[in-house]
Amino acid sequence: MKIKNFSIAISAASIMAVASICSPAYSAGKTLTVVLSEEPDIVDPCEATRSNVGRIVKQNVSETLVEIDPKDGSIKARLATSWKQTDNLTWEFNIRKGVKFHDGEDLNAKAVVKSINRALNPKYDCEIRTKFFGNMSVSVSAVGSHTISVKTKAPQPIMPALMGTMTVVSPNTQEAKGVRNPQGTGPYVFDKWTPGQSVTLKRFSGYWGSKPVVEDVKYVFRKESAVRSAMVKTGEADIAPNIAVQDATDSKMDFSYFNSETARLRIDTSIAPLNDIRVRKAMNLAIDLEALRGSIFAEGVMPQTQIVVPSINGHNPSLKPWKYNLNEAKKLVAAAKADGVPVGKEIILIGRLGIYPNSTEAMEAMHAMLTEAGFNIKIKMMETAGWLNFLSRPYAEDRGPMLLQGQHDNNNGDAVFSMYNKYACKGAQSTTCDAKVDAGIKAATAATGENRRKIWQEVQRRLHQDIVPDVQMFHMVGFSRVNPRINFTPSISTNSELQVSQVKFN
Amino acid sequence: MQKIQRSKVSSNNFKKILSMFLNDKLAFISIIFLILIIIIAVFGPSLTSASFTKMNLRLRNLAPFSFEHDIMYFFGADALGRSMIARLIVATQNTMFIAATAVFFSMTLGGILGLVSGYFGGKIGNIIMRLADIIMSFPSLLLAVIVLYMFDPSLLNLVIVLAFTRMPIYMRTARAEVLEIRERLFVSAAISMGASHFRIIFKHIAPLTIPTLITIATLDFAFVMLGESALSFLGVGIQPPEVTWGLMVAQGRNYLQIAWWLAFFPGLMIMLVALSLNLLSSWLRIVLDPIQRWRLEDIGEKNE
Amino acid sequence: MKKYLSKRILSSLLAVIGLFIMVFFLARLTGDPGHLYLPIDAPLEVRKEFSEKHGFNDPIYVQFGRFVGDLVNGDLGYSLRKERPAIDVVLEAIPITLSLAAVAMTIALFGAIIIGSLAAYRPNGIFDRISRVVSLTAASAPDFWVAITAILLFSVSLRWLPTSGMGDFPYWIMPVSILVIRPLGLLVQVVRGSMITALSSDFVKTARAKGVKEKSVIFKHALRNGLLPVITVAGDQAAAIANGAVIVETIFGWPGIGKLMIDSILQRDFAVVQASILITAIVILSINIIIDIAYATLDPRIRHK
Repeated sequence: MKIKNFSIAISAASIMAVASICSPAYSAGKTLTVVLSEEPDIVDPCEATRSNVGRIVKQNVSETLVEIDPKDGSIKARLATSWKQTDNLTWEFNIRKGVKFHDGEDLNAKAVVKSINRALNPKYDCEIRTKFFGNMSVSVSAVGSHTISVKTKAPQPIMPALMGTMTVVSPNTQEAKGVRNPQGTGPYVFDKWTPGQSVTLKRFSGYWGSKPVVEDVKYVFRKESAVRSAMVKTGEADIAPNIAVQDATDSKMDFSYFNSETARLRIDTSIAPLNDIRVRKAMNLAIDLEALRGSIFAEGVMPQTQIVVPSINGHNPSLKPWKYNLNEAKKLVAAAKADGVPVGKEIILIGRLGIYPNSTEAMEAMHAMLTEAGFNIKIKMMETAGWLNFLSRPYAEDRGPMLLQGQHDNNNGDAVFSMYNKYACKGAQSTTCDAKVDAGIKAATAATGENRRKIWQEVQRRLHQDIVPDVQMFHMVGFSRVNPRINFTPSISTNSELQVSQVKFN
Repeated sequence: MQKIQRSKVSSNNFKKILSMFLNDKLAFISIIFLILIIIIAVFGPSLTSASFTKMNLRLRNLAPFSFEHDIMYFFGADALGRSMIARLIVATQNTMFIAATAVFFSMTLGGILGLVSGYFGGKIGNIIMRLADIIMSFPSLLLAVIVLYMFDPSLLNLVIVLAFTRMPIYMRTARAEVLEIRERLFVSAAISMGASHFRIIFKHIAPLTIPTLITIATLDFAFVMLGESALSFLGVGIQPPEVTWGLMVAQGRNYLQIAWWLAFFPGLMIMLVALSLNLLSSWLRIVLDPIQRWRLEDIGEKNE
Repeated sequence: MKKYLSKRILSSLLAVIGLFIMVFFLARLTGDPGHLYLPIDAPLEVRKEFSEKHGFNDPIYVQFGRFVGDLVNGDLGYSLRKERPAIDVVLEAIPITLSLAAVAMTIALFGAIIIGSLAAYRPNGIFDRISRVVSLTAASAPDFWVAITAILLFSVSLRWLPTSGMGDFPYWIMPVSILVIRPLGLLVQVVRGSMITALSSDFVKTARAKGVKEKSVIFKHALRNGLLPVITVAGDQAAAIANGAVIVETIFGWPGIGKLMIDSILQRDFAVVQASILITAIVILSINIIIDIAYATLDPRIRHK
């Protein structure tokens, strides 16, 4: 008996002790704490197109020659003060004077050329090269102390937009290998990386632009959205970009904004019954987007007509989204069936876990709606790696009819970054082939100005009305939670970068 | 599960066992609860109207304990507006099926391998035990993740993986039992009478090891259920539109702040079933242990 | 003893090699890492060039040969994603999981000994019943669910504990508690069982007859003998606690080996997967050998064999 009492007393005392000691470390002072969903593997600015790297280094540690305005896709000066096209194949950029790298080197034409060549070195698989310059032949040279010229083999009318992705690093940066302590020109110096725990940045005293308010930045990483949003709520973090819609429950700290992502189901148009346009139209008619909006998807999402969002050059604003009409869908299916189209064949719907919040529920809902219209759908949810096997060429020869859950992000100002890959006959992720679309993509890629916009818009129209290669879903919104002690408004660009210099304290 | 009942019936001491049950109230409640679950697993899904498992976005995340809707919505509705009760019933069948088959296969295969290893000893025995070491020397969850990434996370593959990772316990236990039984007289007597190895293993030794193996299996059933839910959490468990309790908890965790019932009820089911199995297993252990059995028998005799 | 030990180490080594070969081929069958390494929109030419450059196009036996060759030279491979030697990445993560597991295991062991002994003192008594139901209930809950609920309760609602992350004492409370729950529930039952046997043994009866105090009967005489099976089960829990670490580390953001393995499996970072499996297996087997030695020194029957 005595022993029991004793142990109860001890445990009660220890519980009370624990409760009284614990006072979590809250972020305070001029330090900003940002909680991200995953830790980067590497923080080389050349990988800044990966969102978890970009949010740390892009425009904070390492800057680009030009910046793309997220609101309208226009191009603003950053490290370059001006630029012009000197002939069909050549662009010239004038570099800002009086800028220093964090390691003391001067920013000049030579340094920029070295940095660009480092990124384009085929020995280094950095994302800027593999994503934007993969099949392009570029040569860069200095034509003055602060002027560079960029030459390509084929005309590149959107070279300035491409330069908006190209981060500039110090000439002392190691070649052909990702670095763990990047040196750029940005307002913040890369301070320390404790793998698995945090990355910290410090304000750069020699920054060329105006002095930002935040002195230190700390990035931490938590996988669960519930944990990230809880951290901002308790004051352990200041900003949680990208939380799930169901965690955005506090209107005082949660911001919702259109991001640059579009969600769709890709239809493999080459295989029966999906090779029949009536079937593809019926699928679009069978989806009740309004029912999904505000339930599985956020209230703010917008039904979508094309793969690029309105701020992108080449978006066609005159297209109308599909309207839910189950009867019409059933009629189309019946008509196709009467012509011998095997509409009852099993169609695999390949989903990717976590591609956007509630992605599994979304696929279950799509499954239910398509089944209602008379299709025989089977869901297969996969991890990213398995899903990728179905996304890109080469496709399996003996594949069956297939729908693929997709989400596309283009925040680089022009439709060219989406169209070839997704819709050209030979595009890496295209499952559609139309001569007119192909010709349009080719013409638009080489065109400039208003003409370019017009050609893109015609391509979008043809895809939406005559080809129907997707089940179009939504232009997505993102949610970020921001602690009331700071003044920062997340926007479309929060997907890919988070400029600490824009953060003020309240 | 069925095995336990069969062995219960086959033993002639039905009455005695019943009284031993009644003397351990917790075990008695557990077995009643488990029988109920088995009935739901077998008959429930076919009795549940399809309309409750269909999507109904108007009832999305409906809160529990309200009488405004059909009684099937008493525990609320999930993120797609499907009745929680109907979902739980359908999930019961899948969960029980996965766990029962996985446990059955790991017990049978592990048991046989353990028997063979213990009986023959030597090289074969050693190789088999090294196999157990390999499986044991590595976190089973990670092994399962690797395998399920490679193959589809289908029902069958899930069962195979779970069965495979739980095998070593049966291998080790069966082997230890055999080593002891082998030394007893009747085995050498059987050998001297010219019985074949096969006959000795399966006719004479195996029956003696079964009670111990079943006790472990009862406990293991709970582990398999928890393992299945952990795999769902990591995204490689069973895939929608199929559903298990583990998957329901894993999906519901995203809604803990706004709809706690999505993860709570399936979590509660897992807990209750695991708890019942644990209590049953400790009852079994006492019943099978000659030193401790009196605890349950004694009182019974007094009552009689 | 020496002979037994060397035999044990040799067989463990064989187990590691077996596991390793299995994992190498399993991992290779999960697909080309280039798919995941390169951006989704990378052109086909870049993908092909990448696979060729890193030898992912070679037949699997060639890759295996190359890998064994490197291994013989003490090279566990290079992480493509992290651009560091895989072994460095793994050695950074191991101590974190080890300390987490060591703290959890110590608490589980001592907790189980205290609770189990008290429960065994009066089997089926009120303490026994309550401790049994409570410990088993706790051990029967899915740990990820307990973890997230605990964060919402203790961090968000009550604001007692930090939500997640590594740091000083308060940061350890939730991860360790969640890791403790399952082995504790199991070990309580084991301690209880072996203590019941020990308490009804002859020497305890003798001690009682001699008038030794009850407290000392339980914690001195009976416990010393009841502890052997507990050590064995605790050893088997070494791998099980690694399972728990995967979940706990993922949710609380601890950069341990469990999280590292899951992440590298997801990203097809083969070198890290292999290195971490190798090191983990070695650690777990070493723990088992140490337990074997402890067992052998404690148990006279084995010592004399």
